[in-house]
Formats: sequence, structure tokens, C-alpha cells
Amino acid sequence: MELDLTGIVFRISVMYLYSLALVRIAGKQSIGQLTAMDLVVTLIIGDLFDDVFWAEVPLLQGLVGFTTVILTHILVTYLTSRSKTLDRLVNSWARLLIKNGKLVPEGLQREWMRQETLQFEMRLKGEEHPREVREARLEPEGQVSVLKADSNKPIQKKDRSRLR
Amino acid sequence: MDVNELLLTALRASFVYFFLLLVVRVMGKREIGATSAFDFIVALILGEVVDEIIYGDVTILQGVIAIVVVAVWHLVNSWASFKSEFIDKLTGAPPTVVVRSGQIQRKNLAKERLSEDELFSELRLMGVDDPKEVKQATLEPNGKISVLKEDWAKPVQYQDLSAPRPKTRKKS
Repeated sequence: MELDLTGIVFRISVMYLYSLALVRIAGKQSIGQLTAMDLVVTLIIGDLFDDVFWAEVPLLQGLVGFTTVILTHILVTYLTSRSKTLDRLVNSWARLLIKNGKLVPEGLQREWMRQETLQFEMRLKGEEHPREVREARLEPEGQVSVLKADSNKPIQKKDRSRLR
Repeated sequence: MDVNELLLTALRASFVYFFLLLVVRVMGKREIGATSAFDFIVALILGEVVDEIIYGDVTILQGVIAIVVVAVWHLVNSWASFKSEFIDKLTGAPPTVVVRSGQIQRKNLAKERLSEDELFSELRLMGVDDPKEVKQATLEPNGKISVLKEDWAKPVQYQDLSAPRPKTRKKS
């Protein structure tokens, strides 16, 4: 099938401008890369477009598919931000991996996380030993958060008198 | 293109959304895009199969099966990697040390096809301008570079206040 070049330009322009407007209205938070689902939604949207560009799908159908996914995601993120129960249902919660310098084996077990993985996640946060960590958690976004033990925190300005 | 087809598209899009929400939830927080390059690829695969479902090029059942098969294999992989060090090494890249005690490990850089410029760029992004300050820099399994600083290059910590060292006195 011969593809009409001006048609390609037209369809891409419409989809681009429409999605720009909708994402702008939706707000940065809803299509951010905060949770695994945000990532998946971003990928879905990218996937919906090319079929329209190559005229395998009518423009109108592409717009409807895109709008539905975005609006559903906005609705779900809105509801989960309002209700703790829903949030727990849709998103997972933080899991403790290190407590007061000691590994929490149960947490690692529950997340199928190897010690080597925890170690590299700690290194990425600049920590070498669990004993220098007060608390480490696997956060809902899939990242490991690391809170230093009090003795290992950098000295804050409020305590500068103790330096002398 | 009648209104019915548009309605069906919207229905299929909502279904796919909630189905993927369920899959992502079951997979856990780490399995989609977070830990390794391959997790990210799995996220891309899951995102890529949906257009045919939403536009009705394949049936819902075919689409669901495709998503479930990808998800199940990835779960099996995660579980096996957790249980067996051998499989973990086989399917995930082990970390590679690229700076040790201030010395750039050129052999390891070459092994990872990383140029020195790229390394310095990564170090700068971490706020390090001199590799001498680095006790260990590692290319981690998720493709990021971690930096552990030498003890002397770290900010002064609260534990240094009470250490019986010259120059630092205990708080009276």
C-alpha cells in the first residue's frame, strides 16, 4: 500500500499536539516515572501511536485509545491518592530490609532479593556496610532508600559548635 | 469507522489498563524496570504488546495469554535467581569494579566497553572530580555506577566528634 506522505505529517502532528495538550492538562505527576505502573502507562502510550502514524488504525480510534488509557490512569492515581485502602491495593508498600545495622532476612525473603542485590543498591547510595545504616527499605517505586546511622551522618551546621 | 468500534476501543483500552495494573502488582516492586537492564526490557515488552489488543488486531484472550506468559517467565526468572547463585550469575550481570583505591581499572573498563571519558562523566555526576577520592567505583548490575569515597574524602561525621584523635576533642 502506498502511504500518503502528507497524511503521515498530518496524523503525526494531530497526535503530537493532542497528546501534548492532554498530558499537560493531566499534570506531570500522573504520567511521571514514580511507580512501575507510570512506566508501563508511558510505554503503552508510546506503543499506541505508531499504528496511527502508518494508517493501520484510523486517527479517531488512536485518539480514543490514547485518551482512555490516560484518563483511566489519572482516575486511578487520583483515587489512590485519596484512599489509603485503595493505595495499598494498587501500590505495594515499603519493606524494611535493614534495621539498626542488621539485615532483616524476612524482608529480603519476601521480596526475593539477594544480599548481593541489597549490597549494590547500598553502594549506589554510597554505603558500604549495613552496620552504618539505620534503616533501609525497598520503596514502592522499586528503589532502595538508605538512612544512615546517626554516627555516620555528616555533621550538620547546627552542631558546628561541637567541632571546636 | 462507526461509533461502536470507538466504544469497543475504549473498552479494550480500559481492560488492558486494569489487567496490566494487576500484572504489575503481582510482579512486585522490583520486577518492572527497576533492578536490571532486563527488567526494563520486560517493561518495554509489556508496553509493546498492547496496541494490537486495544485496536482489536488480536483477540483479548490472545493478548492476555501473551502478557501472562511474559510475566510468568519473568517471575520464574526472579525466583530462580533468588534461590540459586548460579542462575543469578547466569541471568544477571555481576558488578564490575572500575576504580579501586583511586586507581582506574582499565582492564575492567575495557571489559565493559566503557571509555575513560564516560567514567569521568559518571564520576562528575556524582560530584567527584578526582578519582583519587574514590575508594571503589563499581558498574552495578542495573547499569549505574556506584561510588564509595575514601574515608578521608567523606564529609566529617558525628562519629568523628567523639573519636579520641588529635584535633577533635570530646564535647565538654
